[in-house]
Amino acid sequence: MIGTSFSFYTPSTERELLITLSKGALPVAGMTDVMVKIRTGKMKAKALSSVSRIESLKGVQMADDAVTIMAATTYTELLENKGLKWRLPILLDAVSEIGSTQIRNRGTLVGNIVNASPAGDGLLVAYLLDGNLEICSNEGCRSVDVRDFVKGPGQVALAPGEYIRSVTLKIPPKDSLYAFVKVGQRSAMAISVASVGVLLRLNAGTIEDFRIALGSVAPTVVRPLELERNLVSLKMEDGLFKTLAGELMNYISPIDDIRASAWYRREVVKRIVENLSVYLKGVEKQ
Amino acid sequence: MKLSTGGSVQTDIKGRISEPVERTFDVVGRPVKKIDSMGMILGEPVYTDDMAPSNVLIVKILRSPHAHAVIKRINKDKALKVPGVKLILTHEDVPRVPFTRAGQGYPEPSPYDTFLLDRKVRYVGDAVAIVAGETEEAVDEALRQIEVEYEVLEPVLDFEHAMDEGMPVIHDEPDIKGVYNPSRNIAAHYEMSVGDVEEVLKNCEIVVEGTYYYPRSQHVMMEPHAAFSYLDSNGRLVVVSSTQVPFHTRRILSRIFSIPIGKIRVIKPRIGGGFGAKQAMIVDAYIAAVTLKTGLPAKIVYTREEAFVNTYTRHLMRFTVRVGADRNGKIKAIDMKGLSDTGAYGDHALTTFMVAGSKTLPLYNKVEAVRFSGDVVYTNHPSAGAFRGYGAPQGLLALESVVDQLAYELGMDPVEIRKMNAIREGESSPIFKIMGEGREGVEQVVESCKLHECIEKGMEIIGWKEKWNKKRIEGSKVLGVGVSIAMQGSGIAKVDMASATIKMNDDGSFNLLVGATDLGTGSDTVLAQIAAETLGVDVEDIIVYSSDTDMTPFDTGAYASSTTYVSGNAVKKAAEEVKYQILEAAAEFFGEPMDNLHIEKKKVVSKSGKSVTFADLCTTLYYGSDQRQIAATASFVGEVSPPPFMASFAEVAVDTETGEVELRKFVSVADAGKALNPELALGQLYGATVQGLGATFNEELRFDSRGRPVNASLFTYKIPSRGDHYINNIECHLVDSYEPTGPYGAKSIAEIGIDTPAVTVLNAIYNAVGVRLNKVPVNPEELLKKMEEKK
Repeated sequence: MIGTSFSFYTPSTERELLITLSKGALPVAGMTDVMVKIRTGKMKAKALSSVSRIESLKGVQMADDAVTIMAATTYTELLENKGLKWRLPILLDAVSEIGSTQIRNRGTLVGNIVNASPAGDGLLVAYLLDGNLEICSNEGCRSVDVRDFVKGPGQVALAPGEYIRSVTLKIPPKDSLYAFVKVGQRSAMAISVASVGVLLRLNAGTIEDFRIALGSVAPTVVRPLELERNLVSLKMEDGLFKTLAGELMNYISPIDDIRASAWYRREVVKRIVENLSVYLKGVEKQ
Repeated sequence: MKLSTGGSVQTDIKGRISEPVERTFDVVGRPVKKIDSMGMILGEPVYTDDMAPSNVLIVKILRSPHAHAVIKRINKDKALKVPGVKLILTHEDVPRVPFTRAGQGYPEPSPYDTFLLDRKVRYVGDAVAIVAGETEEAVDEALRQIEVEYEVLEPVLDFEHAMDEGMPVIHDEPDIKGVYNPSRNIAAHYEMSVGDVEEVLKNCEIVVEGTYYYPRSQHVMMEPHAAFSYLDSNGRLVVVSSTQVPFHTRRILSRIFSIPIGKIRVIKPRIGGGFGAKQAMIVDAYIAAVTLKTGLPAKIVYTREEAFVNTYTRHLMRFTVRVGADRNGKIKAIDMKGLSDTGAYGDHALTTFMVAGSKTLPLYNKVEAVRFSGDVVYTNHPSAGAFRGYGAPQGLLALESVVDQLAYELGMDPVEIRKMNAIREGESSPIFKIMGEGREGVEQVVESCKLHECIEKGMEIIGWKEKWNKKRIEGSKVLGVGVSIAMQGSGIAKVDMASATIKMNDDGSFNLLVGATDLGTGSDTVLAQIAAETLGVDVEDIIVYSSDTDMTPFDTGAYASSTTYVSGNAVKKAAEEVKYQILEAAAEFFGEPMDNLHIEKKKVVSKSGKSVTFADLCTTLYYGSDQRQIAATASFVGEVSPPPFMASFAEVAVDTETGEVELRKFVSVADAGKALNPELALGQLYGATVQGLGATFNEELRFDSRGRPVNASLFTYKIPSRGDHYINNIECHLVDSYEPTGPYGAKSIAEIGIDTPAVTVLNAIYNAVGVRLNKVPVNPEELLKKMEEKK
């Protein structure tokens, strides 16, 4: 019993999708969060329009420096895509730990971004890989950075009548090391208490590129760009991560909730970053 | 030639037999497939909700939003105008009869502190009104339209202060019975001692103490509580119910509605799990009230949230244990003092509390003095009740933690201290006689106890000798191992009674009618195996029909690990009587003395060379000469309750950066007597272990400051799943054993597995990082904090 009724559209083309949107329908993909929200009364909708049967919104497109993931592409399809394995291994690490098999069979990366939860593992990777969204409406298409798109927890810059076509993720520089660490109360079907994603490229012991994104420790995913820039050109030395961990504490504002206290969230983020060298992995060769 | 009932075994007609240990079997001891599994797998309509008639009235309950309140006024006028609504009942419309929902032996040891509907509500979710209508939508709308005015009272939520002077009184109604001290919110109180505990402790060379908490968790059986009722063509009330206790349900309904037991029939179809949550009359009276008032069929199916809040939870318990010993580790005295939170109603209050002692303390039977005492208090939480383990996991968490403390204080191997002090075959404990369930127990000598073999085997599998007392570090993780031992019972001695009827058919098949209640455990299959073994036929020749109060003989129900032992013995006795009747009839048929005859593969064979098949014999008895029905009914009450025993081991890796605990290995090795169906027995052991690990790592029903449940859904309350890291790291085994009083050597296995996971993991965490947590579920944050404090 859902307790509320709504219309449900399954357009097969983007043109049909636009028609349903003009009638006030909300675009949805895997609906793994939408249905839970509707059932618990946290979200109300008169009409939903599913993108999942639109052929032009399926699949993954590879370019030399970027990967474009279409809106209706499920997590399972990403995990099964061999080309992503060496291009974006950190994405697959994060995706493989999302929800359950059933949820990954339905859920999509674009849906995770629109959901805009600070605990969203897919969203965290999109932050880290400088994700860029292609947003379309009757007026045409625009592109917007994921970081600008997310305004707060559950809040995004998507106007009525708009839908997301795709997200484009930049392939990190060759030979980057990466880490995705998730702390949760449980290994399956649980929202993380805190998560950390890192990309690091070294050249003869000097940092050439450094990126870090933190989940569940602020109203949105945190990407401290200034801190990242300050690390570039520094020598990779003992104690660097410890200093970094200390400075990161100024960028996060975790809360107490049913899953963990603010103290615990700070503490695990600090410890993970201090010990980043344990978690960093290299990219498997093609 | 091997006789299927055993070559040299002599049985008298009443089935009083002495079984030799060495014997072979044809049907028992084999992994026979569950006889009811195919229908379930194929999605046949086998469950309660599948069977309800299509014109049934839908029944739902209006529930209190307050933890503690008095209903000043209810206005149902608007709600009654909702189209399709047939009936709304409030406390003004139903009989005011105090009862307990607990399905236990009669008279029940639980207090009569519950009314079908009452003026007062005692937890968030307590029943306020019963609404019946033609559709779910109509009923839902009516629920919204009922106007209730409450006088909200201060709730009692902290069980450690429920007895304090000046606390609000939860049960102030004058007509309740059997409550120990209602004015102080004490539902039950118990104390016993053997020897002078204080004196012995004073003279001990070492005394260790610890206080431990086991949380309020939920059963989460897959099928929620469901029932439907109708009047048959003779006006009798028929209730089809997903219950573990059909006969108790019939008796409780008779009490509430003042209708004779003979006018009520309770039928139990297939059940999608119970784990104790259905050892009660939870939903049946609501629909019975509707059917009795309207004459129409009525149905109720609980939502998952109702299954969480409005049935049972485990009793939250705190135990402070003191153990005194000499310097060599010989335990001389144990003192257990407890406090249990029974929530709003005292279902199973006294008995679960007593089991926390009676099913743990006999493990250390060589003490000079032992004491067990404490109170069970009311709070404004959902009612606690029966839950697999029934108090033993709570008591064991404290006892086995403190025994572990003792070992480390003495610098001893925790396995060695247990081996030194644990009960052995042929020994007894005064606890057996003193502590029964809600009353005095029964003296017994433990005739089968392979606990030390279980310990040895578990040690070997976990690699105890190589791993204990070695600092093992992997990156940020520290590894450790832990151990615990456990026992349970096999039914309740001199309380649980079961009976079985067997009748022979003219094709040589047999109907086996049992009151025993298969709630998904496979007991129908095991009972069929016992009957087949005794009668010398195949399992396929036994047609089982269980738990229908009109059709099957009495059985107290499926609880207290009783079915295989108690009901199994009843089936065996009935089968032996039928077998005697078959031999007697064949003797007449052949004109030979009975001594000449034996049963062999569905035939009676004579030394003279004559033989007759069961089918021919029965056909002759039906249609030919000396016509009669071969049939027998037999009953069994356990004179003793032989405990199964178990040793468990855990290996953990504690992440010192996050406090996260990874369970690398969990091993349980149990002595359940002879496993009549090894697959099903191991299924019980694995299932109970996983359920115990759920409580160890995740499961706790939580409430906010106003007593509202915060995680009463499967979205927020996490039970173990295939994705949990430990799910493939569990190993369960049964050792060879034979219980002389059991049917073909069997004891119980259904509960014991849930007793040890929590304490074994906590002991392993201590071994790894030197931090002793005093409660589950294991909270990484708390563990991290304690590791910090220790630095």
